[in-house]
Amino acid sequence: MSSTKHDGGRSLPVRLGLIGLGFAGTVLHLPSLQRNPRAQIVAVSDVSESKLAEFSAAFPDLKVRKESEYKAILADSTIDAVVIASPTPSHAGIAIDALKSGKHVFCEKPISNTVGDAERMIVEADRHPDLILMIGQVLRFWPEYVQIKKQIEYGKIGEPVIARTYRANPMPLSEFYQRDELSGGVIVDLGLHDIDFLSWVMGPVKSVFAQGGNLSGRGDVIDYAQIHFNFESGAIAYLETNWALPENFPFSTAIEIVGTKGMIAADNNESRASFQLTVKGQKKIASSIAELNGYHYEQEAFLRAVQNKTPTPMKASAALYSLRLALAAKQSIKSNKLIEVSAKDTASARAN
Amino acid sequence: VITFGLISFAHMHADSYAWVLRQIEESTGEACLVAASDDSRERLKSKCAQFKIENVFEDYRDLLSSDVDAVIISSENARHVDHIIAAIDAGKHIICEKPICTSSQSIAQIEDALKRSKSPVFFQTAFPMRYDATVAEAKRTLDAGTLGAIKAISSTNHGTFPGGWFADVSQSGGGAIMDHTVHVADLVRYLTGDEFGSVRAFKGKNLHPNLSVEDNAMLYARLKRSQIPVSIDCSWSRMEGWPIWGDVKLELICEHGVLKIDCFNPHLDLVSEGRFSWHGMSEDLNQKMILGFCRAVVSRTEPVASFLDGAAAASVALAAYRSLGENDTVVV
Repeated sequence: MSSTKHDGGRSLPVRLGLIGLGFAGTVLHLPSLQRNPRAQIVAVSDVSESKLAEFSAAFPDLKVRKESEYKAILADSTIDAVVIASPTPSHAGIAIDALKSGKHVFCEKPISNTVGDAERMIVEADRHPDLILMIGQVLRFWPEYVQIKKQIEYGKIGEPVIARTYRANPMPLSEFYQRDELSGGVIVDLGLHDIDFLSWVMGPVKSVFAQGGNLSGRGDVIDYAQIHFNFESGAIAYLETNWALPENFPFSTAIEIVGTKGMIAADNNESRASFQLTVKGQKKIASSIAELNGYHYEQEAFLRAVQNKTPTPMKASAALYSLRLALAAKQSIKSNKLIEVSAKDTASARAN
Repeated sequence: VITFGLISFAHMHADSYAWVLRQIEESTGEACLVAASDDSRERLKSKCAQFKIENVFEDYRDLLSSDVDAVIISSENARHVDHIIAAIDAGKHIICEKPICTSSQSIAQIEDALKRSKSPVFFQTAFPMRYDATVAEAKRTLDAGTLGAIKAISSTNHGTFPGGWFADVSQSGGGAIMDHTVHVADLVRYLTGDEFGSVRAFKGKNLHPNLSVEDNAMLYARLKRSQIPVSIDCSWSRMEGWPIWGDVKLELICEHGVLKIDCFNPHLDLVSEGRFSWHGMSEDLNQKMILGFCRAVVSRTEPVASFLDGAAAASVALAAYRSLGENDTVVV
């Protein structure tokens, strides 16, 4: 964990540019960034004029520069860091340009949809040891998941040996999700969360098997997968991830880790919320507090690292490893074969 | 009234069958437990005293020579086949604990015995989940057709390591796969009307490393006609301190919706003697099953889960072991 020796309001807020005003940018990141005293959003950008117009309408009080070119943000020498929340295939190009412009980079997960692009990002980051490249693998900051990790570290359940995870959400409407070359499908976009978390908690993966496919008939993506991990330790895991759902299906996540001495489990639909707001005429019930969710904590980790010039708690190479596992699952679905994870990749994961 | 003999108390379900038979005798009077046999003289003596069973046989062949109408076979898995074939040859109707047998040769031998039998033998595989109201509602919902085609299924039948002979492969035929694949495999067959086509399995000895059998496993299957993916988690991954013995859950992803069933979810929170648990709210499925069997025998109709159903489900578990041996996907 990074040191907080310069904490206490003595550091200046990090001047931020937010690149990409889609769901991740405006719904996941903006609300908690706005409330964070460590952050000052200076500029936003999106290639889409309509996204910029929607943004202005949705956040009329937010006085920030609006750009259609992310390069205009990179050219601003007063900006310290960028938050990249653009479509996955654009991550690498923007992140590399940003590092070259001397900006710290927080990049939404997945790091990329290809191993080659992800590797290029990491190579570029290695050229700038003074800059931070952090990938938003948010489960590593999600309170329930953080506690699961901690309880395992405290030895409360012994060695974690059998895991099950579940992550289901109706496929969002935008074209991005329906095209494999853009989102990478449900495994790379959604299942990646649990893939990353399990590799963090249970260690290197030896081999991957998966079955699934396109069940909804929408787009060319895999929208449902049953994934199996054989860990080097002998532990096994089942990960299910699903977009092939009716639009009124609730966002659902569950995890269960069985250890040699106990077990620990969480399920987001068994509400443990401290705050719940139902408004007449509004379908959605608000039960999430911006200062208590994983997006806030991952931003906090990033901003603190930038302010204190300390490393982030998670290396970008760990996100690359998770991407490799996700791509191995896709490969297994296509070939119906068990995919061995290469010893070299596993060694790099162990180094994380 | 159908008279029953109970062959062996080796499986822990035997006690509940004996208890249920006593209940039925006292309520509707459709069944009566009159005899029992067991290899263990001591166990036989104490159980027969406990359940007030009159006719006590040390040798199951003597029980089969007596005039009982039907037998419940709850011996160790690997011994089912001998008990089943002897019961068929003696013309007794059968309820057999699952899995009905532990090899494909045994399945073939039982088929032969059924074919050569002169009097019709009614055979019920002990799949009480078929009598569960939640399963029945799921079946009605799917059969109504509004959900459209089933596209994928994931299922679990978690449990707690039962100990004893279950850990001895020569008696159990295998570990968690042999013990816990068949209930959900049967429900998948029942709900879809399809058969299992292929299976790939992975296993571990993660919680009880010194066992000779696996204590956790995952099966990845494709159904025969629809080719839809089905996952089965049959792990003994529940333990002392968890509030319930295990679960039976299925999630069916359909064209027009999703159906989830969690048969043992209805519960009360109970603390008793310092221990927290879920007090189950489900019906007595063994009672429904035995009553259903009695009525099938009386009306001379096929029981709800037949020998063929038991054989098909056992074949999935057997295919899983072949998959592990070949380290590849195998045909069921």
